[in-house]
Amino acid sequence: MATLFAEHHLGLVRLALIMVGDRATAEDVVQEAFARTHAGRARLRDPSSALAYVRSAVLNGCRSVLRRRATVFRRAVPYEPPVWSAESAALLGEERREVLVALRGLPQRQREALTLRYYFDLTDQEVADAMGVSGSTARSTIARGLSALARALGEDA
Amino acid sequence: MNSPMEDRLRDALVSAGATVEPETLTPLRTPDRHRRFRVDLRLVAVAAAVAGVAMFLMLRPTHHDAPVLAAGMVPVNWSEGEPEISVFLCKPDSPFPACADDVRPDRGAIEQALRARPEVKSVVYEDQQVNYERFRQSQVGRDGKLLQAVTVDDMPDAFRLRMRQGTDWSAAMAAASELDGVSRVINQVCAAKRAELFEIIKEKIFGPDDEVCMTP
Repeated sequence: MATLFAEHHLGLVRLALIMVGDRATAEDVVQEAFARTHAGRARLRDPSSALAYVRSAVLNGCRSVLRRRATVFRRAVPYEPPVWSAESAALLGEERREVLVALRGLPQRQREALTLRYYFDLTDQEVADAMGVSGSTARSTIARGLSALARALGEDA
Repeated sequence: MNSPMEDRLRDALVSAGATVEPETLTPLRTPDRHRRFRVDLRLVAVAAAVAGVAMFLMLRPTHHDAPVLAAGMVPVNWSEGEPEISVFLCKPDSPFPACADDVRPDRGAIEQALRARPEVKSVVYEDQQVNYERFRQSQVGRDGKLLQAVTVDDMPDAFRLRMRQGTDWSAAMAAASELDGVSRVINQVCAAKRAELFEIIKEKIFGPDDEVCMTP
């Protein structure tokens, strides 16, 4: 499990970054997921499902961060501008920032599905495994997410 | 094949992801047991100084991960008449370089090779339970923190060798350390001599010296 994290650390932080927006939180989420899955490593019977398992753990961590933020009335100012902020436009370019802002506006499940598919190039089944849903649900979530994104950006899916 | 929307999304995700550069990542901290272990390292050092217990600690970078701390803990109390040389065997996930590739020690073959050495008078096998017990007894009367940190699983299996006086022990040690599945060979006599202070052990065992206390 430790090796798995070492190999995929960067990818997992990037996944978390796209979900939660800022890097410090993203790294924390991955660290926490690592600590949790490390504790439960004895329970993991099928090594081939380990990567899906750690991806789920990271996504779950992101979900709880976002939930926590949503429930805080006025959360503390993040000490790092989120990737979709105006400040990061200089780094990414306005065009890309628009996409990230639109992505952020989607329901959480759709964001996850789109990120797993279009950033990590996962198959429907791999997306499904990471999200803990069925293959067909993953497929339809990706399709719905993509058309919602296109709608938001005034493009064709 | 891909729609422009898909391409745009891909491109935006890649560039957002690229803002995290691999070199700047904070390394993952090894959690739970290992973290506890790292905290206990200072306690270990203190206990070692007080109890005359030598800890053979190794830091090994595992891939890009935080270093994993591992220990083969061996009390070096030695008194006249006890076996002089200890040959420790690899165990699963052992950090010692000699145990890379998850070498499983062939106990029979190792014992045979040890008995074949002219310097060796007798060979006794002690499993990790026995070694733990020995360690536990070395901790009687201490504050117990070391005992809490160390489990039976941290202990290696070992062969204890009684040696013939006047023979070249270092040759036997070198030969033993080259056997498959042997993690480390310790001369308990010279290690015990130097176990008065942990610092001295660190300096002498790990540093260059005439008398070989430890191989490899």
